[in-house]
Amino acid sequence: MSTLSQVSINKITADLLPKKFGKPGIIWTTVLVMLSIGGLIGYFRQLQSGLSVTGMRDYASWGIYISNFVFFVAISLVGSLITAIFRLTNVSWRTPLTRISEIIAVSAIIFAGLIIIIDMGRPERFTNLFLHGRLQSPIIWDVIVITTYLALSLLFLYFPLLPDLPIMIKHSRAGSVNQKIYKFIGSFWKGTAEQFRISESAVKIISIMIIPVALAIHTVTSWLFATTYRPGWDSTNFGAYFVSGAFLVGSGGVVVAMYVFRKAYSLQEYITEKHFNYMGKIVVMLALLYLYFNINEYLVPAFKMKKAEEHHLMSLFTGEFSYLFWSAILVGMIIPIVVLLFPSGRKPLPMFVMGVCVVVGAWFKRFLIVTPTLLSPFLPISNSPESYAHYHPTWEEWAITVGTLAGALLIITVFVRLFPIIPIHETIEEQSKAHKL
Amino acid sequence: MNGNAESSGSKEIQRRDFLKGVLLAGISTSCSTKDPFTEAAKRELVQASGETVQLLSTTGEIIEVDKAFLKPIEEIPSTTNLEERMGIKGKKFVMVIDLSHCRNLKKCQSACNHAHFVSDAQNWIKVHAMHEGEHTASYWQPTTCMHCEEPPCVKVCPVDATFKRQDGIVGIDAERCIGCRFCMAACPYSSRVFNWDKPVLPPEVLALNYSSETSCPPKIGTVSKCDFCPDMARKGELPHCVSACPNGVFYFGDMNEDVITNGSDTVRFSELIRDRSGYRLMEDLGTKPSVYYLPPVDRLFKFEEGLKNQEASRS
Amino acid sequence: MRSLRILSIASVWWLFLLFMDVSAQDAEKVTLRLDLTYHRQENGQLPMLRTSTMTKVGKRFEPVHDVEINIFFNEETSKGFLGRIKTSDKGTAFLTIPNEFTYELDSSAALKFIATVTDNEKFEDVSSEIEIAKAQIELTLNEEDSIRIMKAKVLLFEEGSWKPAPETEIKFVVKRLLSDLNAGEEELYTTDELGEASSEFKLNIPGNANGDVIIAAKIDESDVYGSISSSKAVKWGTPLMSDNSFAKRTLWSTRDKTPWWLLIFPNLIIASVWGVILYLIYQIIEIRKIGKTHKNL
Repeated sequence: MSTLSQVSINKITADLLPKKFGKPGIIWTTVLVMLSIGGLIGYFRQLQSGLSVTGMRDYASWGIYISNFVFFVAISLVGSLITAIFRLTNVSWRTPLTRISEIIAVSAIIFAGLIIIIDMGRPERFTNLFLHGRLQSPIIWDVIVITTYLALSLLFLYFPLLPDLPIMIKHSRAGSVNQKIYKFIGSFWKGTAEQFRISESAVKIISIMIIPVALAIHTVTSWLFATTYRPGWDSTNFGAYFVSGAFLVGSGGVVVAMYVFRKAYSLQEYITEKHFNYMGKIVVMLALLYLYFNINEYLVPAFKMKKAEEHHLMSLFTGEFSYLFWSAILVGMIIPIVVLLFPSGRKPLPMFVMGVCVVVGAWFKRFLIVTPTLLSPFLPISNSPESYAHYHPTWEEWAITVGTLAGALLIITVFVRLFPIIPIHETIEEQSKAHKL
Repeated sequence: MNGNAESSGSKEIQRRDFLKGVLLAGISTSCSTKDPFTEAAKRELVQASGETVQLLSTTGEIIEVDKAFLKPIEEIPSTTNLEERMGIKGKKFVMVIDLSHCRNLKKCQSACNHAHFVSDAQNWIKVHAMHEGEHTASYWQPTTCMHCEEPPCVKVCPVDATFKRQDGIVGIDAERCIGCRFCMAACPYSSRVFNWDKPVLPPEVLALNYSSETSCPPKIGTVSKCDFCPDMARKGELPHCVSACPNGVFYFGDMNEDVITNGSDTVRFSELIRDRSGYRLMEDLGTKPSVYYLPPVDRLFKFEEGLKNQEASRS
Repeated sequence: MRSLRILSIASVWWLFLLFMDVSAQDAEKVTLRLDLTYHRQENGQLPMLRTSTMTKVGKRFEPVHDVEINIFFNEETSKGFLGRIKTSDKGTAFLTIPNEFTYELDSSAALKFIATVTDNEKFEDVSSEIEIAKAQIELTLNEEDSIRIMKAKVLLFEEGSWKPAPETEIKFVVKRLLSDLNAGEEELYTTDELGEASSEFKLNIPGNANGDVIIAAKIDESDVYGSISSSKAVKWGTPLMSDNSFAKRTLWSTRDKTPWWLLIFPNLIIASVWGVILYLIYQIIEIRKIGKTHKNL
């Protein structure tokens, strides 16, 4: 790192060090904390009176909890996309995005796991999954891959963080809580050649390992649906369909995060328009891919219109869910594709808006995958109250769902308060290399 | 009035003395098969030996009888969780539903709901009004759990809470169930229901130990469904739906014995299925149900006759 | 008109109850139909009494549960009191005659039983009485030249000894778990002057693993004899093939019977991936060691 002047090193360090929240930061955190508390209140009510506080009933037996779970699993895929795939394919502009995507992955996968427990009728029997787990059930596969992915993602966050920790220790107030945390997790990093060698080889191993594991979490999650007979789920395409959707929502999420951090931390020099431009192209490609799978998923059964599928498809195309369905397709795929095809659409602000569209569209798309199918059973809905034939989430359900989303954002927020969102050491390294050339 | 049972000299029969004798009779719900009450009754009997209780005769005279003669309910040996999970050896339970006799009376449903304390608005047995095609015949089709030979619900259960027994029954252990509801999504026959609310139960049922053979007492946050009433079979009796149907729609029996009965007729299973072209629902899914259907031909009732019973459904 | 119709449906005992109703002190009590029947499974076994309670709801009779019934032998006195039973959800209750009454049962030719419901909060007092002529069936099963013959002889206890009972209707059945299957060529046989009836057994029916089936001759719900039967096990069934599908490792069996492929491959993958994760954690410890021993420059 000798070729880069000490002045520029100091500037990079100063730019990228985590900063105290300003007023917007405090408001943002307060809102997230309040929403999370709202979720806790909702969950407390659910613990008291059982799942009857939800809008779910015997037919719509899975609702927005499971949709939210699939959403979180999907968005967590981004960690492996940006970090691992870009690293392996030597995409040079990846550095500022790696930690952003990795922390999104970690917080999303933590909440994916939590939501499974929230959705359970008997959360206190959670341990049965380990005491009595049977490998024949796709749920057990999901429990295994989610745990594995969480472990790998944490390691993937941790190893690249090590070289930044001495910098953090140096720049934090002596004896402060922050410094204690930094010291606890990385005071042993001295930056020796041997330490770098071990760390780099570890990161390389994780980059390779995490790709199949990440594909597995989303494929297995899709199998929770595809291993049943239900119209709309009974598809051999489901693994690939889910993975492509996950890539799209993940990159959408990264785009949104990039824009927010760039604005909030004035990182214009590090997260440049070039990054937005490249990410924009990737989002278009992924949106096209996801659209391709959607056409497969809906057009092929619609061409045949098997009796069981008919009710389901028509509820999406023209029935109960048609507004939501076409909005999700339009907002989540078509509009981003069209806008991002133009170079001016790949500027930061339009990119941000499109990123939000992709993420919001993707959330509702998950709902459309989960619930309408359950409301189209093979046998008619008979001898049940009218309310059983529909699904309207209750406020408790919304509060819990919003609470988990806020909670995931809160983890990210606390993380960026403590750690540099753009790797400092790696950025300095990279810039010195560029300087040499 | 005092409640002293020993006041045998009194001419007037005291109601409370009277009720004491009643104590020995058990509760008579279907849930009572594993009843700890039996033990209590036995103890009561031993203590009471030699004492007398007064009864009133039809002519108004007082009869004094020994308490030892007050009959406790028959004790049925209780089954362990493991026995319930294994099922009855050598049996293969099967049901045949005769669609030509069904007119949507829903007696099966109410008997079943009553016996298993199924919560309001839910039913283990549903009677569907089937109209499969525009110009095809309409008919009433009751559905129970199909107790599939290769049950998709059991495949997906993460914790062995729902299980396949050797006698063909698919049971649920509500003490094990985590309430993930994957089995409900997996079942193509929509036969499973979830206890969203805390079940409303009489205290004596609530006090029982859970049995997967009676599915009682139902537990909040767990899945339940038709259990084929193996507790009744152990007593040599028919499932509640079978005996409740006045039209003999349901036949039940052991496929290994090749005999089924609807309570009044006893027939060979294989002959009935052969002669009346029995079939199973959604054979193409490969679930291999244990419930067979006889097609709605030569019907006892017109489809329309059942329509008036449609409103009587609980809501 | 309506009352006429009801009357026409009502049976004799119902009229009796109507009469009771008039004399009752409490007019709000409901009338109850009480039936009593006599059952004996095997010769020499203690008989069982079955009661059922029903009440009229609209046009039909519905079972009544939780009614207490007193059962008496011969006379409605404390000496004749057999016990008290309570009806189930199906409106039925059973009582096996206590051992104490064996001698009296053995010595008498005619058995009289009385069931009463008295001092019930909801129902009128009611009683039902049956008189049973003591009978038994002797069943013999013979196979000659591969022709299987079931023969039953009905005997009646009269004047201290067993005598043939002609003109009695009898059934031959195969006992099954929940009901009896007709085993004779006809539904019903009538005994001859020797009290005998017989039928060929032509069924090809599964038995137990040995091929044993239980065949019974029975008199069903006779007004004179009650329900009595006599049975024997015989190797006239086809042996039941043992089915070992329950022991197989399948996707729908319990965790201890997980298919081998599902145990081996996922566990291999899990072990290898977690092996690497543990290796990576070990690498952190290595980095830590280096850092601890490294002197600050």
